[in-house]
Amino acid sequence: MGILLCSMENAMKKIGFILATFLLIGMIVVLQPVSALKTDKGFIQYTPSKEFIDYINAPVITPDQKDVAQKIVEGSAIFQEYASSPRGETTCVWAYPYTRTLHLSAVVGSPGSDSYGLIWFDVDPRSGAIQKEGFSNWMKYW
Amino acid sequence: MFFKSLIGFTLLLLLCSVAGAVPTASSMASAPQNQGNAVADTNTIISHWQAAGYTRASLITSAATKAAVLDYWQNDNSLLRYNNIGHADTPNTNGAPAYGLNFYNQEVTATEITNLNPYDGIKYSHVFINSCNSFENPLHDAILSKSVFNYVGGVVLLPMYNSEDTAADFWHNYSNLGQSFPTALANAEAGHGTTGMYGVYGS
Repeated sequence: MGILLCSMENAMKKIGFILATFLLIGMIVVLQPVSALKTDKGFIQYTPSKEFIDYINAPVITPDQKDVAQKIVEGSAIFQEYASSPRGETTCVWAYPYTRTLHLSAVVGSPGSDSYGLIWFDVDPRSGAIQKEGFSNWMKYW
Repeated sequence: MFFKSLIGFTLLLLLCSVAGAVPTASSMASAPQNQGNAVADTNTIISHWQAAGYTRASLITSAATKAAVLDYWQNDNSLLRYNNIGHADTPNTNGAPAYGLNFYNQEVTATEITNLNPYDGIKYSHVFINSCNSFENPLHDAILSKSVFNYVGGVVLLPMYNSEDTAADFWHNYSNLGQSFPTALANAEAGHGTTGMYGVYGS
């Protein structure tokens, strides 16, 4: 009787081990369903342009440069025109291609209002000049 | 005793998998703004993907935050298809530089995309960005620096309605009809009067 119980216990342990193994495999398959399909077969590495490399390697914009540029654009006619509209946070990046000119932009208005878009400025913080400015109409174009 | 241990081990594994949840869809579409046909076409696109056998996910309006989208770009190891219908940070002229993409109330800049690491999700993916001038630098090279397989983006200011409809037809042509990336795009453009408004990288 004791031998029978012992062999049954061993059999159950084996079944349990097999079930646990299948469970683990199943979980891995479910969690990573198609990752095996992602492949680099046929992929051609893109070579970025020199202008882009210069742009990405440009120095980090300092807080002072941002402040100066922000003050310059606040005096502009377009900025004043949208001064009373809800405005998102200002993005400040180098203008492209890199010539030490800054590109500032901010979303104004909302999709439900009469006016919705992006006010943008290309500013030279050294001379204090706005080189380009405009409003991108987001009610008409993406 | 053994079965109790087995149940405990299984629960532990399940807890670990939930706690460290990463996106696993093989196709994902985002539409941060409910304008034009953006939401309707995004739903159409993910239906096309589902019909082609892809597991699908979508981030619509307030769900399409910068953090949520970048989570897919960075961590979804299964991602093979990505589409975005939304606005770009670009001046209001055709072919002007594109500096970034506007997700829900927040922009991701070309520099941030270039510095994105890891980028296991968007890597080797097929990508369509339906935004004005999105095929222009620095955004263009920033996206291609993430080793995407194919890329379609705007080379002009993309008009609402016709452009997002082009994106929806493109994915049907590519994913369901088996057309090449350039052919799928040309046919979709022809159907919506948007010929010449997009650039395409890859075959």
